Amino acid sequence: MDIPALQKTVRDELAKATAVQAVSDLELSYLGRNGKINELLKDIKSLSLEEKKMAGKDINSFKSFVAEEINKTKNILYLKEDQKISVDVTLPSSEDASGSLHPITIAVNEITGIFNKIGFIRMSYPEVDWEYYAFETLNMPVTHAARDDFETTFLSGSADKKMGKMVLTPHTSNGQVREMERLKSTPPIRMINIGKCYRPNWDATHTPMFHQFEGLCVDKGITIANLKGTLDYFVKSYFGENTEVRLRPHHFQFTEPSFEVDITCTVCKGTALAPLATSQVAKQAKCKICKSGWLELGGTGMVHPNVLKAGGIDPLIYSGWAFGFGIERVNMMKYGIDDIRNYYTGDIRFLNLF
Amino acid sequence: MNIKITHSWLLEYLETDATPLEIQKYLSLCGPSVERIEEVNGETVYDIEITSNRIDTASVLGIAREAAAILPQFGKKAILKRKNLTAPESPSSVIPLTITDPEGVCRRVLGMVMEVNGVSKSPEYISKRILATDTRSLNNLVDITNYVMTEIGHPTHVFDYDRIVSHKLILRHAKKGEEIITLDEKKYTLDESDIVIDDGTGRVIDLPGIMGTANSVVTNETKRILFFIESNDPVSIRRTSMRYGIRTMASTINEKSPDVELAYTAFLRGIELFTEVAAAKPLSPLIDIYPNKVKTGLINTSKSFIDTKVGAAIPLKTIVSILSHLDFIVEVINGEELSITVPTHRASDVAIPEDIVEEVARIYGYFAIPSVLQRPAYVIQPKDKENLFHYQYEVKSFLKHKGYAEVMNYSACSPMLLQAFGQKQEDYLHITNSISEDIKFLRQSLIPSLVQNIKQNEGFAAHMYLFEIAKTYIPQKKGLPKEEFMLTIATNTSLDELKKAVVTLLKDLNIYPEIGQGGDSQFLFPNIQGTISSGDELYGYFGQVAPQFCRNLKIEKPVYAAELYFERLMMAARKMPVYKAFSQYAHITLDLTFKKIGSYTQIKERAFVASEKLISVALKDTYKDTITLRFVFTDPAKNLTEQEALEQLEKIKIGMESVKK
Repeated sequence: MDIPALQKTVRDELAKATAVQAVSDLELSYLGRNGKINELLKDIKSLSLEEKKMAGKDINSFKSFVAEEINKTKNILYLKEDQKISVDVTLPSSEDASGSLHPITIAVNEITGIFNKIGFIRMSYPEVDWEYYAFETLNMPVTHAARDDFETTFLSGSADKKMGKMVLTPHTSNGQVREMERLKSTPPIRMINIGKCYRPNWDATHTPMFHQFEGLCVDKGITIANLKGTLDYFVKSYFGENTEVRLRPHHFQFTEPSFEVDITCTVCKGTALAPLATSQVAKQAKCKICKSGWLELGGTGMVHPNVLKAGGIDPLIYSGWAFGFGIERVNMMKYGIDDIRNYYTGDIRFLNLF
Repeated sequence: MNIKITHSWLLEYLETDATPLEIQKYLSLCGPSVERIEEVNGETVYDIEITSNRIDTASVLGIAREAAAILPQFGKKAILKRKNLTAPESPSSVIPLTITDPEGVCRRVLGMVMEVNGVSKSPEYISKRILATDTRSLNNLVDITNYVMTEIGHPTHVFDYDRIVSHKLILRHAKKGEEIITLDEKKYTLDESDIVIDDGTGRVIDLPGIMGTANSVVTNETKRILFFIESNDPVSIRRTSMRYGIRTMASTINEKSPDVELAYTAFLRGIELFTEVAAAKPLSPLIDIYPNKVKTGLINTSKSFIDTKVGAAIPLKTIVSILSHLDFIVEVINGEELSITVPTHRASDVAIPEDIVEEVARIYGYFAIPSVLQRPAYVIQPKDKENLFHYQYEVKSFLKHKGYAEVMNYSACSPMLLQAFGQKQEDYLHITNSISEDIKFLRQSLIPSLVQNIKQNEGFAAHMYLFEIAKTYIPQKKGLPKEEFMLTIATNTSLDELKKAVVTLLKDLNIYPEIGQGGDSQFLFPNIQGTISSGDELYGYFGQVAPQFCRNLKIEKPVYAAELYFERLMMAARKMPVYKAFSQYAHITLDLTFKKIGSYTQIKERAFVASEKLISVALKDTYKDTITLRFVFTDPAKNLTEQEALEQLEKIKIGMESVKK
């Protein structure tokens, strides 16, 4: 048996193979049941025991040689074939229909989560309410300017002798005394009330319906420092760790003292400067969003003793803070959604953006 | 409201080393917000926001007082310079003048006649300052009234004495239908609640506190003036000025109850200026009708009260110094108790100890107070609210992932929309002072709005998938309307698409409802609508929006909608399905075709009644009047044989046939 010659033949034959199929055919012709290896084994049957042993050994090593060579060649050819396959993975995939959440929903969910963590429960109170809850209990007497036709939306439902007229709530603060009543005038109160509000004002920056989130905290020993702590916590959670808060004096009937809350501008980070283009060397322009480094967030203050009294809570024992911020406004500040008129038109081109 | 004052003018009342930018910064932090600083004709002008409770700061004097209290906190020198004003001596011979307020409509009335040396242009410093405050410069006499108002903070008025022929001024309520022509030549018809000045002949010569009338104001020929200030009823001023839309600076100040004592300061300052600018000489005594002198308030509080409300210890010395700068008189008792007299210019604003806390804390600096989260407390959220908010977000996300866009519409709709949907206006609550017909009637269903959304988006998307969760407002016999959250889903694709969304949503909430044929939603087409319910609980309706309503909105393609009582769904929803172990034994599936009699829901019910081994039914096909269903049988205790399953199928067949008879 001339093993080297046989090996050469195998090599030559494999060298001619250009496709995996040709190699598989060769595999069958050598290693198959009726293949050349089995032929060789048949041929040695007539040999002496000693010769059989020798020849058997040769045939077995030849068999391993063939199997190995075939495997090698196959792998090379497979790799070659693999190389021929190529797909443009940047082609767009098919898509499931995609819907959207309203930007208000996204903000409400985020805000609720932030306050939940510090033990504030979300509540919901009537959007159609009596003047009593919208004004009287909030230390706004009948003669207060906010109660006239130009600031408040009145409804056709018949008035109540004690409760006054029916109004669409101009703020979420009608929930303040309602929450005190729900808790039977027994603090602690930790409420976040989110709802729709209505004011007769429709222009580029106002819609007659908008959303507010109202925080109310009443307990023993609640201080301005606590209000600052809560605002700090909220603003850093919502707008980012580097956001700073400041309070400025203001006036609201239902808080005393009252504040306006500013946060460092989300665009210029409080520097009051416009982003500098690389080519710009001249004097840096002022930030277009804030002009001063600060953005107004909304109104807040310490709950007025008259509001606590209206809710049956003794202001000598308890104190509290409250705030009411616009959701459209925080969306503008955080996400730059600036044209709020699109919010309530149902325009699919706007809704598809979210 | 905002006021504008110039820096040089402020310096007449304030001695300081602070720059305008420092003044802007520090005042905004502790007092009135200085929104802008502008340069106008070489003058630095502050544009300042005045909150409605602090009308005492709507003047040069008021801002100077605030600055004198605030700036020293920042290490700046600031001293308030008060003008020394004295009343003129009465002339030896007087000319006739009668002012009366028989109904007591004013808190104070001041008047004096003066001779002037003619009407001319104002000196430059006056006209320049007036212009900087966005007021027109007219002539020396009128300019002085505006100048005094901005400087002192109380509106003033000047009449031509000789045009009030009767020399009488009687303050009274207007008569209904009485007409006046204001100095800007506009005509108004008055109401009984307005207050006017009558010259004694029934002729109206002023709309006090708001605007002068054309028949009594100074002209180029004026020789003798009546300088006049009245302290009005703020509520009446606001009503009148808003009713006729006459929003002058005078009315804006007067409606906020300026200090009655300040009227006198303004009067003396006016006389001083008329003397200086127009060589004025008194022709009458100074008339001052002031029946009830304004009382100064007294507030008792303590250092510890202030500290507990603020959450920081503020030194007693600081408290006293801050309050004294603001003209409060502070008496300290035992180094702790504070007895505080409120100055008249703060009478309408400072009344309770909390007001004192505000004064001290703001000047001390809100920035200087620490930031400390309150100690936690546990408040139980009512279960219905917890469910409502938890599932609301889940439902919205689910629908979003199913391709639906969330819409938020106004809570009120137009009469046109009600009409298009065959609704009667009188059944709806409406806004009585609506600013637009588009938002007048409070919604009782969200379907009309969503159909309208589909119409409005016609040009932008062919296939619309929308949903909204919002309150509806159902009027009640008595009291507030019932506010009910509805979930409404709408599409213009097919009933199958709509039903798929509804059914998979409910499945996601682990609610397995019954679907009934027909329903009584007045917005849906009676032949193509169904109910979604469980036992006695109705979850809502679905179907095709009545075609005639769509035609009214000029929509050609059919619209399908489901309206669900959201809170009911939320109470039924489960985070986990009811657990039932899966069967260990074989399931055998068999199909059966038979004549369809009744609705699918009814057929399904019949099948379950007929076979106790049946676990599920599915629709395979319908052809003409036949239906093919796929039944799955199993036995909870053993493997069912093919033969046993066929026996069950036979029972179902018999059950179906028995209906035919």
